[in-house]
Amino acid sequence: MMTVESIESILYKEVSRHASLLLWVLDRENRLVYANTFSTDLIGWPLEGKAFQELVVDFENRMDPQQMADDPQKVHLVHIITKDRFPQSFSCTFHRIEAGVMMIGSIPLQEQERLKTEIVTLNQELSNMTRDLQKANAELKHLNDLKNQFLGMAAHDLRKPVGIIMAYSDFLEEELSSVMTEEQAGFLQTIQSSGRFMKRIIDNFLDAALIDSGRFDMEFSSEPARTVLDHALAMVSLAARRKNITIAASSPGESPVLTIDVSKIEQVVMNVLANAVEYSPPGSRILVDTDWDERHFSIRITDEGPGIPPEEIRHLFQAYGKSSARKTAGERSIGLGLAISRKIVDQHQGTISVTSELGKGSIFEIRLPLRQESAGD
Amino acid sequence: MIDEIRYRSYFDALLTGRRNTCRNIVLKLREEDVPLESIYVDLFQRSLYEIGSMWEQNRISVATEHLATAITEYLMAVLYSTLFIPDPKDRSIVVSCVANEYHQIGGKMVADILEARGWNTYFLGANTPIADMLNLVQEKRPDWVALSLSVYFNMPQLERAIEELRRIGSGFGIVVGGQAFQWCKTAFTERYPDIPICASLYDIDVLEPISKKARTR
Repeated sequence: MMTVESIESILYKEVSRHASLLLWVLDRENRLVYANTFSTDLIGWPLEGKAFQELVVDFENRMDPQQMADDPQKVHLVHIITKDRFPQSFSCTFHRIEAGVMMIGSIPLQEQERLKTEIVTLNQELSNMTRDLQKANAELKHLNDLKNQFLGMAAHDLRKPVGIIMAYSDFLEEELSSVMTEEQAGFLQTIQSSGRFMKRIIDNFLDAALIDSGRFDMEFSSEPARTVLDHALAMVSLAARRKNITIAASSPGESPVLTIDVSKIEQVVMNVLANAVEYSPPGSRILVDTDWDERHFSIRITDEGPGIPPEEIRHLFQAYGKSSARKTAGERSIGLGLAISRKIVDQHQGTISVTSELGKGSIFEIRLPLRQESAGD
Repeated sequence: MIDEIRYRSYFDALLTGRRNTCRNIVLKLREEDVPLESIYVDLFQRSLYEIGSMWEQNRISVATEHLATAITEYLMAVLYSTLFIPDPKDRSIVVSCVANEYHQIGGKMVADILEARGWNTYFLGANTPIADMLNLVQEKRPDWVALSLSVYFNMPQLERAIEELRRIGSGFGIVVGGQAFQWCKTAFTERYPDIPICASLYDIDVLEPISKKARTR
């Protein structure tokens, strides 16, 4: 004859083996004498013999199962640290039994469902916000590309007529300097200096457009550091002489060979030197010294200019981030030179930095690695 | 600037998961030109601390705490569009949670506040592997690296991250922060006297004095 199991027996077996409930039996010292399979799996190790306080999160040490069992109807919130070290909350009741206290805990399902729904809704809203953001980003990128394209085209188309103006003004100077009045010679010099300034702006715009579009490619080759420095010094010597500025360059002697894009590094050195000349008072001195070890080559350019206010230093190497300091002979700039220099030095895995003291001058340092990791020799 | 009545309405809505009420309160505050930093400190940080304290006292469940955190992060995303600063920036910081640390909201708040103050910030979210963090630091070469730690048990991961950061260079400062330091501020300072602690958003100014020399690549 088949025996029929009691409901209590079936319930006890199922809770012991399968149900997502905590079923703990604690002795009078609040040590676990029994825990169901779900509890052991959740916490990750055998629980028998453990103290209740070791298994729950109770910062204020207020939980005493013996006392909680005084009111078996009352539901207590108990946090358990799971084997993944994440806490999980259970709604628990405590019941006095012969052996001590029995605790039964369940996860509040309605609360879990509400959390799940809210998280899904939040995720959907965030996902929609991300989509809008990406769309706006794509539109901005497109507009930026159009701007670069326009800038590149405009600069390219302007280069030729400016070149012609400069060539013809040089031609006029050569051919007619002996017959021109002083006033006429002055006019011609203004045309020439404006032409040079415009060419510099156009070159900078072209470089900026190339940098922005990510097509600012480098052509690495080997060149003695001394040659690079000499070329840059030669390019600014005339401007320095006009302002009676002395450029004292310490001789690097046996200078190392750099693996660089020669014309672009010359552009950087010249840029920094030209700035030093432009911001230095007439009759002052600019010091250029070099230094190197087995890994890096450094060029330091020290001027006696007005210095750069500390709050402006942080913007100095950004596009249009020029200093408020005045150039001493009214020279003009649009604030792209140092941003382009920084980009070029970046591409060489080098650094360009400045220290400055108001009223005393500035020191710019260009530091380049002797070998380019990705360039190959 | 955020009065007690407004704070209580927000807190009650947050505790009961009423996201839209929280959103309306926050947007109204922005409309009234309440500074973002005040919303972060006096509303977000205060309410999350209070909720954390209720959790510690077994008065609310983990689910309620998670929901409050999720809503706060959502509100931060809503506010983020209002903190975009187009000015050029040259102070930079990488903010990262250490490996195994799943509480990212504090670090994110630090990153957002510094962004609003004109810093260039790079935020690495929860549970960031050390290698990923080191790669970003080497790539971005920030002025500071901030490591966030909420759970004290993750201290060994934080110490490992500090050792690894020191191994790759010294061109940046290291700062640590998070709730975990309310338990171990003194012990940590004894071990790492040169590393400042930003235990809460009130201490964020420890990051302000940066190197006078503008380091650029």
